[in-house]
Amino acid sequence: MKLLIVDDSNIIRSRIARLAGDSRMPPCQIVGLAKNGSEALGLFTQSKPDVVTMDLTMPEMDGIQCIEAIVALDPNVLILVVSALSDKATAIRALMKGAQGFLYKPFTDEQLIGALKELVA
Amino acid sequence: MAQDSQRFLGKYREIVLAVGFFLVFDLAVLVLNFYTSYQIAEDAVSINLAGRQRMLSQRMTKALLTLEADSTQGRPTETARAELKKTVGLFDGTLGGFRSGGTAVGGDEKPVALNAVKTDRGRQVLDDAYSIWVPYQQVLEPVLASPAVEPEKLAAAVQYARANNLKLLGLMNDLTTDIEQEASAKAQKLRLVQTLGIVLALLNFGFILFRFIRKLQESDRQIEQAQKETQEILTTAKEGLFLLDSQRRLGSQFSSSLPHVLRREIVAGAEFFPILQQMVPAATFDAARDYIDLLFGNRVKEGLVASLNPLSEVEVKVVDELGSSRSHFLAFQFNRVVADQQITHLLVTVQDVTERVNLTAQLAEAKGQAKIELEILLRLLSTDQAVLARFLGTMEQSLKHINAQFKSAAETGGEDLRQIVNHAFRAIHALKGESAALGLEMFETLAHEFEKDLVGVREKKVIEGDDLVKLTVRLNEFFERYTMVKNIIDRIAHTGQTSGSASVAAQFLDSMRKLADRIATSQEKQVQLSAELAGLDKLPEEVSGKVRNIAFQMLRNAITHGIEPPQERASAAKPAGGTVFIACKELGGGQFEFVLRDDGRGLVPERLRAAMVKSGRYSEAQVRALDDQQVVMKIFEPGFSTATRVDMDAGHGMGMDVVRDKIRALGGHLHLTSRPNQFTEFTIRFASELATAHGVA
Amino acid sequence: MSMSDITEQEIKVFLDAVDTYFSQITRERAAVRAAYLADGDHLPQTYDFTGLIAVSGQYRGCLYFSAPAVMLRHLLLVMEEPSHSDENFLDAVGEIANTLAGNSRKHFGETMAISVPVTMKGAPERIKSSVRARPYVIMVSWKKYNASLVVDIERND
Repeated sequence: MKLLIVDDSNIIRSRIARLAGDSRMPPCQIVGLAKNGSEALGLFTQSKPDVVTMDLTMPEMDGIQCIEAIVALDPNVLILVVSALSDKATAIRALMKGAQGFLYKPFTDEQLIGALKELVA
Repeated sequence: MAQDSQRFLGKYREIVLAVGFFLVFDLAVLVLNFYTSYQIAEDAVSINLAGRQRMLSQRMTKALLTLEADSTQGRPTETARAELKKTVGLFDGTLGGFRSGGTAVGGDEKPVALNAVKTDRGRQVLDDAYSIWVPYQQVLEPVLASPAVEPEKLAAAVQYARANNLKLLGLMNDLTTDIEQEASAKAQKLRLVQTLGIVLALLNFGFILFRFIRKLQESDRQIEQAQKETQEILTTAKEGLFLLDSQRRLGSQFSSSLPHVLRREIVAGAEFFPILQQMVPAATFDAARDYIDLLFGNRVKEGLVASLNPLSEVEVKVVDELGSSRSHFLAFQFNRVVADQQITHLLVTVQDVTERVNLTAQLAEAKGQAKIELEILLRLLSTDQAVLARFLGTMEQSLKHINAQFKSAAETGGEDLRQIVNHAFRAIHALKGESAALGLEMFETLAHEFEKDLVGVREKKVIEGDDLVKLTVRLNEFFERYTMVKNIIDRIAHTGQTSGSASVAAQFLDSMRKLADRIATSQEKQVQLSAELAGLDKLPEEVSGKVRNIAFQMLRNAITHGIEPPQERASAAKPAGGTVFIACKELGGGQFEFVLRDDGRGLVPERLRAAMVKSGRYSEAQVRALDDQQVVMKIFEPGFSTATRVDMDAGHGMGMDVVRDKIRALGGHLHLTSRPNQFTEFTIRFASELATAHGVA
Repeated sequence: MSMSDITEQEIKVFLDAVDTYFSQITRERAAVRAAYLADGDHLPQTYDFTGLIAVSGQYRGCLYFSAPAVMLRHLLLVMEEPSHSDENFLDAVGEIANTLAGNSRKHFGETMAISVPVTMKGAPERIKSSVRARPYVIMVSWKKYNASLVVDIERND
């Protein structure tokens, strides 16, 4: 699968990227790392990923707007929201826009791998 | 699909086979019916024609006789001859048909098929008939051949006819009877087969019915069982359980606890959202509705959205019969029910988690308790405010000092945690003593709880940073209580309700008496206090405070360890009530002396040795190695106690070391004299001006 | 009996979060060194980088974790993160604050609303005013470094 990682935190991006190469993960190719929604949208049109991990609170274009735009381009894309948000209503809104799953930050390696596996199952 | 049909056949094979047999039997009976009716029609033709042969034999004779009569009387003979010719033709044709099969002319002049007669008797009858008929035909031939018949030939024919007419009739009769019997036998046989077929079909039908009913009953029973089990689950489950259909309506069945858990009437088939809307705030309701919509949709992964359930813990306000609003906490759980890859329902589980959540209630209770204590405190305030203010000052200093030590441990990391804990213990223990003396049970209890935690930490082999967290929480608790009381004192001071100021000595004696009474009562002892405290009022407040502090601690020890219970005193020929004498004298030259003496059991080195061994801190050999003087001095070491039980007044192994530290801080000297079963006397000499500032151990 | 609105168990929830973070990421636990109460005389100890979360709902106040740059540098090293920029140091304290938020959410549920973490470089001027009269300061050590966790939360009644 082709993976796009969207998060405004450097270390979260590099952590997810490192876990994408884990042996417990399904074969995975990282096609892009974006630190906000508009960057993500650009990378999405270029590389057509199958799976996107998406932070919600980001500068420029936030996660919800980005999900909406991405799903409009490709309704079959799988999106996992990865966020520290404690406001459930906002997270639910992200799902209404077309994301399939939600993972709370902070996450352990196992939690992220498990969530991505369940997402593509 | 092929597998499906196989499975289908497998399940219903018996029924399918039975129905198949039923159809086969029915069809067989039907075919037999056709065959029978055809056969009966054929037999009827044969019977009919055989009967006609009888009649033809007679008509033939009659026509011959008519011909003869016409001929004799000279009348034209054509009609009779024609009649004879026709009957002969018919008779011969039919007879031939009976013998070898073929067509004959029927009653309506049309040809009909005729089967050859096959029975032995029938063949015999035919053979007999032919043996008559062949000569008959021969004698008739000339008669039929020409119109001008020779009279001899006619006579010969008539004679043959007369001779054989009845025989031929009899034979034709026999033939008819034979065919009739044959047909009847055949019909009977067919009926038998037909009956058998019908019986088989009926049996089969009965079998099907029987099996079907059995099967239906069995499945009914299973359904009933399943329903019973479901019902049992629904009646016994503590959680509220129900199914939500895609129309967001409640299913027909739900657990009987559901109305209780939701605190409202529930009707099967009711719409869920209006119920929910009444229970939760609008924002939560909106989020919950979206969440439920998401679960009914196919897009989200159930396992990856469970953490977002807005109803995973939700506060619900209910107004009870009395009109007061109470809130409780509910936890909803939603699980998809999938049939044929379609999400048909959500299984909803509702639990009441009020107890788990409601820490606030406990807190409110604790606060309530604090308020009650405050009332007790307020009553006390009306008597001793100046003393209380001094006490609070001491308390603040002690608490701040403990915190400063905690902080230095946190910052430098080099501090010995055990030393810090020991220091805190002494400070809190001293606060406990003073609280008791002032009758401030609230602070006394608080100090006692703190002390218990400190003892717990001190007894650990290794004291860790984690332990300080617990102690810091206690410290905070003390600070908060202190602040609360301080605020109240200040408020009261502002309203000008200051009490008249009795002398320090008088207040002190009063406090000492209260403490003595309380300790004695709790230990079932009797104690009287006598005092000479003139020197106390001459001391500066700072020094006086320290002395009073030491006095409280020494009094506590004297009653707990020195004064014996009444029966023990009686057996030692002493008065039941013990006496504690306290004195504070000015010696001159800025020197003072404080004395505390009890008439108790005295310091007995052997008993002290036993206690030291029992505490586990010293071995038998170690205590033997010490002389009596050294043993007595051990009472000033941290952790030493001879009390057999742990309560607020003794047994925590701290007391005399606090005294020693306080005496050092005072810059004083301690003198101790004791006689077994007579007395123990502590004398402290000190200066009225503090030489060193704060000499903390 | 207790009048204290935050219990030892509740403070342990926050400490566990810090410990969990270090245990999960570095396989090395964070130990509590000591604890004290901050007040006018004793301000909470803070370091170069601070991650903070604010809470509301049945509680109010904030929680923050403050650590020196040298500790965070070592942490990034363990995490195989090559760039040791300020941005990544802030990310790291932010993630620890996230962990605090996560644990708190698990323990306190809906009764505590938790803000998105805020990260700061340098002395956190903004958090000088405290909710509690005496906020809890808990000193935590990981490897040979010290960091502080400040619990300045109160129950709303």
